Amino acid sequence: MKKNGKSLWSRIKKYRFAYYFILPTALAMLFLHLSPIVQGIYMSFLRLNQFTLQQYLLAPFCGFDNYYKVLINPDSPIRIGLFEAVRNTTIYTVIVTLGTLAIGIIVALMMNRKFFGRPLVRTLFLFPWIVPTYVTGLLWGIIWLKQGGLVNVMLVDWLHILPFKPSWLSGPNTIWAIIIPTIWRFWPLSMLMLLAGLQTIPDELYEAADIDGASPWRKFWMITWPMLKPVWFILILFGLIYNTYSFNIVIMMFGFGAGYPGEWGDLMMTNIFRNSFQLWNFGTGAATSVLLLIVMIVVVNVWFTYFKKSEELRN
Amino acid sequence: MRLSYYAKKRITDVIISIFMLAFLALTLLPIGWMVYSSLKDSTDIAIGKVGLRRARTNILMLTPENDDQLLALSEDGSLNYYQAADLVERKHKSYKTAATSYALDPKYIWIMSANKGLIKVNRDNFKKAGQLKFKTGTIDTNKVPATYIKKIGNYLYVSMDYKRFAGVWKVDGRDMRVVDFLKNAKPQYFPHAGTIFVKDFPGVDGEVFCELREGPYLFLGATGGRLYKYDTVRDEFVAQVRVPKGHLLIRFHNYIDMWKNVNFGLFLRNSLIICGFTMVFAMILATFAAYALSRFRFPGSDLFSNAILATQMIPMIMYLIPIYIMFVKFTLLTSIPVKGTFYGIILIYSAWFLPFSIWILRGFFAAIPRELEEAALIDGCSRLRVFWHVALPLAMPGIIATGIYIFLNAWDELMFAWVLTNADTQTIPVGIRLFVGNYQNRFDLMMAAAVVATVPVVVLFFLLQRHIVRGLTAGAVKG
Repeated sequence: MKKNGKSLWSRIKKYRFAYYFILPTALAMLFLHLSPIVQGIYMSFLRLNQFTLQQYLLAPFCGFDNYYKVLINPDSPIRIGLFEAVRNTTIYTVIVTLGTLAIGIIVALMMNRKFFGRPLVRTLFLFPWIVPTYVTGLLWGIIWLKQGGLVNVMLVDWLHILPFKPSWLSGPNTIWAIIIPTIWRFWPLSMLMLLAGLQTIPDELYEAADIDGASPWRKFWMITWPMLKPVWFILILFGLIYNTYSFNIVIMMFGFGAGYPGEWGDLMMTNIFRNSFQLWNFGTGAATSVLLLIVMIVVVNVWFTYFKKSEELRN
Repeated sequence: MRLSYYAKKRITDVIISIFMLAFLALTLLPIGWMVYSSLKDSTDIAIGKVGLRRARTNILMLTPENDDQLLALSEDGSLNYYQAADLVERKHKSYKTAATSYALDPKYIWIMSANKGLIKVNRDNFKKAGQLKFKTGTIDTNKVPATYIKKIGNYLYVSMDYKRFAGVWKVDGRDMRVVDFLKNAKPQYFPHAGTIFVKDFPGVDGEVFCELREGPYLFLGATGGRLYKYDTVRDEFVAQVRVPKGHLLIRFHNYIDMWKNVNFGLFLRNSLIICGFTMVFAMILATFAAYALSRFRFPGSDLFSNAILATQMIPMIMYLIPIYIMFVKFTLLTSIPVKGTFYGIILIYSAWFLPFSIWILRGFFAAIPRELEEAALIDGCSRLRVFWHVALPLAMPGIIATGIYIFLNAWDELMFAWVLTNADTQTIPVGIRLFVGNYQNRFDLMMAAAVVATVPVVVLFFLLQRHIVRGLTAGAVKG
């Protein structure tokens, strides 16, 4: 034990240089990441609203009351629209993550050939990804307009697919009105990463498969997809996290309309934002955030374990 | 039919290319729509009129010319000669003006317009002989409903129908210069200002704006540039013609309007300052930390790496209230203002984008072969010199890519900026958010703002896209 402690100290002394390097970052993380998070978790146990905000952490302690309000109490105003927000966020996250990946892989496969003007096409494909998300929300809010929106003009006036102009910004269609812009904004990134992954796959594998007479479909599932595993693992991981916490597109498209509880355009983030900054219930807002954080930790850990297990199976 | 392997390959190649280009067009369509909408009229966007509007071509004035010709002047600034006998067009020229009014003298045609000021045109060959632009400040010339002009002797009295410019310019017609500006003098120079004399005529499509009697014939200039020749003896129309279509109204003025309405220059400056400094600070800190993490397995390095990944899982909204209150408390304790200052938001942004930048940069440093640094160490370089002269130059592409990534993300950030800035430090997203609330149905201005918010990042991206693509893909392949 003593020996171990001594070696720890000597190792710390040995790597003094590394500590100098991470010191500013560590301080920043301590004050601006760890401390707010601890405060946020503590806040979820306080009755913190517009009257007690002045006292902040000295506000009356109420134990698990906030969690009770969010999870169990059927009469609490906080729960209005919570189920719908959870449902919408789940649908939204899953469809956006998988849709981004699917479109990304299709386009990456199409791009993985030699043809004239390839760098230019790749750059142009990246264009939506540079458009800021708040602009995406604003722009698609105009594109989904009932009378003059591009989608309705195309579907009804030009192609005559639909007999009437549907309303995209109200009712159940809303979920598509937020899913499609998000996919449009984020698929170029996954395309770029998958394309880079595709280029590292050695040609010999495909040649061997050709000799064995494998169909393109089989070649994709047996060679390409497993070889791309590190890439799509990361893409799905970050897709799940970022899409669950998606905020800008929704808030810009609907304004506070996204805050109408129970609508199909209401996500977890807008729900928490509304609880905190419109109902001034900071305590319950923090409790909802903590619950969401727990769910995310579970999801990410499940995904990591699945990945590790399948890696072990392969080896 | 059996095709050879190469023919098959060639055909699939072409099909894939066509499919890909179609998809590219579909992908870029929303961006094209954004730029296009920003040049349209707000009501056109709302009602779904896809084409651009054209200038109105109502014929405002008809005069005989050289006995056998007819001069028709229309509202879009187009001057047309027609043969009086059969209304065949002889000559046409459009000056593309808005809210036009005309005055004539034997030698010149004087065109007064809202957007191009006063234009002096030779009457025989329609060449421009002079132009005078008036200082009208910031008004949207597309919205001026009418202009007025009257010629008295050598002087022209011109005015615009706009609330802030109730006044008359007195212009010397010979050398085209403003002699005088008469304030609130409109009525005495233009007794009929503001009234349009229209009447109906049986058989004329629309309303008649002007008429001209030549012997037994009556020429009628009507709505939409229609010109009729009417025989009063036989009581029937003899000939009919339409002046050419008006020019397309592309409203570049939306951008000026938007810029003035939302104080966009301030937001742009704030965004550039905040994002630029955030990029620099986060990059410097991330470079040091990523180097340390990739090179040394010191006690606590695993904890640190895990903490970096864990921060990505925390919803941003959890930070919002604690940080807001920390800022307020800090100001109360030390009386140094933090909330609403540049350094406050730069600090928060730097900290917020730090973990992900470290995570990307670590891959770049890990890719540099250790042997290079070990060789330098053996040669007697200090640790710092090795970092500065060996590792840093080799990792430069990655550092640049990370920096741009931070800039793009900081440009995109709305939630912190919303809560932690004040009126002087608001960034573009907050400005646009406020503006969307205030101008609910000015879709044209919203799209203009969207375009202006996108342009800086697009320029940055196209300047440095090689680095970004390389940086992002390098991170991806290593996993």
